Amino acid sequence: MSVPLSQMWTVATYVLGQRLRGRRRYPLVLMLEPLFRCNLACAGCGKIQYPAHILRKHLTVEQCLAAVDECGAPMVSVPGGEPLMYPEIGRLVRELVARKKYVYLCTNAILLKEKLAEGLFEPSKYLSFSVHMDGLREEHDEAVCREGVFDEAVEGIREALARGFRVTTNTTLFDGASPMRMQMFFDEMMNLGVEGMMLSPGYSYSKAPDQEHFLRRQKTHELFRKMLESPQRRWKFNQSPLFLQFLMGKQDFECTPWGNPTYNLFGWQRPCYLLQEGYASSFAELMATTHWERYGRKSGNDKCQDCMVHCGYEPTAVNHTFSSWRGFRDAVVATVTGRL
Amino acid sequence: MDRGGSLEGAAPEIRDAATLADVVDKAFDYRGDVTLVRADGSEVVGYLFNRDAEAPEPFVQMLEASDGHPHRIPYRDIRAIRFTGRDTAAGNSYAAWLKQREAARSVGSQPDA
Repeated sequence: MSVPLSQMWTVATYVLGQRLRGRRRYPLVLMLEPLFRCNLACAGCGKIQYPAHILRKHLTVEQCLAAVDECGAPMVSVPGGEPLMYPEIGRLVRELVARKKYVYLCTNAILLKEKLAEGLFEPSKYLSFSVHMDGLREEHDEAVCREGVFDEAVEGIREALARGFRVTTNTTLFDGASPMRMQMFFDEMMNLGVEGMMLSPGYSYSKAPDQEHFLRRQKTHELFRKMLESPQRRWKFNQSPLFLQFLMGKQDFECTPWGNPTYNLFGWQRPCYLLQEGYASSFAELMATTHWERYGRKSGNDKCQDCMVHCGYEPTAVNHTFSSWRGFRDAVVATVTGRL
Repeated sequence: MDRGGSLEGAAPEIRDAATLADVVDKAFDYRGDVTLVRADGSEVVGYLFNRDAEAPEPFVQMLEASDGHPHRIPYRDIRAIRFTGRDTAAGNSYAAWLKQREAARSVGSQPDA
């Protein structure tokens, strides 16, 4: 695994601190969406389908920071929309780094080279560009519905690495993904020099137009087992090994919808990053008034039955690591041996 | 363009609390602006981004299309909701994109006349 030690330490002490305080529900990663606007219109994404007056709006840096401070999660993921289109992205990132938050700036990297040349960002152990890459050139360009984007992203990654930034990739796997092609993709990303890769299956949330191409649970297990059964030592994953084992069907986890709370133009999204069932005006209100028992597989909620997405299950995996000797042992063994 | 059962242009009738709740839910799921008619006959045009039917006083929240002004409107103050804005989710299917791409490729690959 490729998560830096300082980040592992921060997360470990944070989780243990929450447990010592007896907090049953706590956030791990804040999903901060400063805008919905994007320079792509991917078939698998329902995030940009809003009227023009909504797409023109964005949060202020002050609103973002107030959310970060109230939430208290040690990691902040900045998706969107395309965060490099956010006019104050440089200032926002500086403020987050100053707060010692581990920032994952989730970008399609089309604008990355340009923004780096503008000097908007400084390399820091707290900042990682998490570049959206859904596979090799053909698969990625098909997923983002525009040809040439893979090459632009690779160029952005090279530039960021050359300037000393941390770069990871984030990949959503759709139905029909080829394990062999994905293994070739892992090799290509490692050859590029990225720090690590993040993987997640897609999810058929109701507003995503590509309903038919998301993976069902069984197919997900099969795909991840084939892809990761004998992982090469050089493949680095920037995520919990237990989450990858869960995707392979080797761990049985329940969803932690409050683990990655989402804040955007409309407020704090209930109950999670994917389902959009309403909004709370504060993080405290979100935590106190959301009917959490209605979500996750055990709840019987239809919308949750096939979901295995990172935003619900990676927090579970991290919590499991620090809440049982077995979880801790499994995580250590996978980290040390590279076997999943 | 196939708009696949979109509510765009619809003006569903509100007869009672159940149909009100149903229409509000549809408006909440709708990815376009709506026109909400209040009990006094005034209208708010904008994006309905939130609703809470389980609050002690059930309400919807909207952002006005003209100036982004936020509104919080109790259910009891809603007389009608019309789906007046373009449905931005309609006709954007993955299948439609594949079809477009294939069409573009076949045009691009035709030999010069």
